[in-house]
Amino acid sequence: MHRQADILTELTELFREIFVNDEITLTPQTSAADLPGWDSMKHIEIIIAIEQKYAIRFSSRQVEALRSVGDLVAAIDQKLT
Amino acid sequence: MNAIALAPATSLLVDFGHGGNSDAFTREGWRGGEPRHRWSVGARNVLVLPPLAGGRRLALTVECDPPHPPSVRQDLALEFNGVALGVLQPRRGVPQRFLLPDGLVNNAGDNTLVCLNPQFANPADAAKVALAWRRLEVAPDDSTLFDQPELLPELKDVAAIPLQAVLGLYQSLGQNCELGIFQRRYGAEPIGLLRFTSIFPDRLVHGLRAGFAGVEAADQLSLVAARPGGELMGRQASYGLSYHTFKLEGAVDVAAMKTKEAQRLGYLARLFVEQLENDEKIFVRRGDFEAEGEIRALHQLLRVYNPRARLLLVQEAAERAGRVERLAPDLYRAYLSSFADPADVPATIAYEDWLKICATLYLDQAALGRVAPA
Repeated sequence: MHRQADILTELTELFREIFVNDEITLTPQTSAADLPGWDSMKHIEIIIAIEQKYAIRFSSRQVEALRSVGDLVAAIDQKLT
Repeated sequence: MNAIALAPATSLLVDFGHGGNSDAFTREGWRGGEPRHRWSVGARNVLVLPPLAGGRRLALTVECDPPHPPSVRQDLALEFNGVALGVLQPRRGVPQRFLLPDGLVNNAGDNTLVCLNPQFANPADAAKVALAWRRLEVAPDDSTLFDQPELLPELKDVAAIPLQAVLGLYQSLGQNCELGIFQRRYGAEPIGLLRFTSIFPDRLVHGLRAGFAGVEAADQLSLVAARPGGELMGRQASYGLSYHTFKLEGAVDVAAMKTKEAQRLGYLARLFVEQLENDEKIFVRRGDFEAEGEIRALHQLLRVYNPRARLLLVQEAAERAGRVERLAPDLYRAYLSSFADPADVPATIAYEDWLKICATLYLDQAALGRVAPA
């Protein structure tokens, strides 16, 4: 859980960079519906950035299943384990 | 005395059992005959077949069993005269068939079939025997896809279907953005290289053959608005992709966007190939690929990635709107009352027809065990 909290913090920084918005605050429940501009293209940009940052790789099925920040955190945590 | 040139064979049967004729055709990668079969050995098995008559479509049928008990999964990548033909997944007692595309067969010289088996294995046997080959046949294929298409039961009520999950099963092979926009309307957002893309048939064929390798090359990408302040359209030159970015000129830094777009295309190409290899989607092409030869060739290209690749072709025919036909295993055709008007796609999509088609085929696939039931 401690690591997931760290991941959430790191993702917040990542999202702020990608969306060019320092006001963004993420919770595990945050999804595309909550963040204007988080469309399918932005989603791929986020996934690419996550893969590069953590040196991990998601499968096609995993990418489509990642719908919320909580999903992202859990998936990253699982990959890092 | 002059050598007599034999006429190319119109059909060929190779019997791998003891007393059969396989010695004439096997080259590297084989072990001596068993009573009813012959073992392939190692990672590369080669057969050299005689000249085969052209002018007719030919089918290659292989009967090949895994060792018993099965050790590890062994899929064979088949190459015919240097061209990838598909993947053979040996199953006991189940012949597997591959069409030999027009122009691939050599009628004036030998024809070479190479079987690549990187997972060759039979741990209990130091000889590394892999698979038990029983028969190989090359014969004319006179069947047509359109003789007796099987009409799938028509779905009357789509209300009970979880649309987002169902519609996410389908992946566009380009032509235009109609399927992508239809999916978006009902909240389905499958990740797809060609989802909002227009690509001509010959470029699609080229892309599938190449796995869209190099699509991320930045010098092949441009972002252009048809009019000042209009939507930026992505144009990828090497594969002839033209796609929506849904971003307006003036609202974004085009240079920065171009760098990200190139990266995104490369990533999507990787996922696209994965979807093809893992049989994750039903691939959909709308409008073109109507002639049987074109349809077969397109399906065969998908089957190079996975022998069970599924292809849905969508045509326009008002009297058959919403119907789905099975033309062959894993090959389907369906009908819309009309295609969307390119000038105003979202407003002119035949949504009800698409819903019926997608739900009908989804239930068929669920009944076949190819997807989780809705």
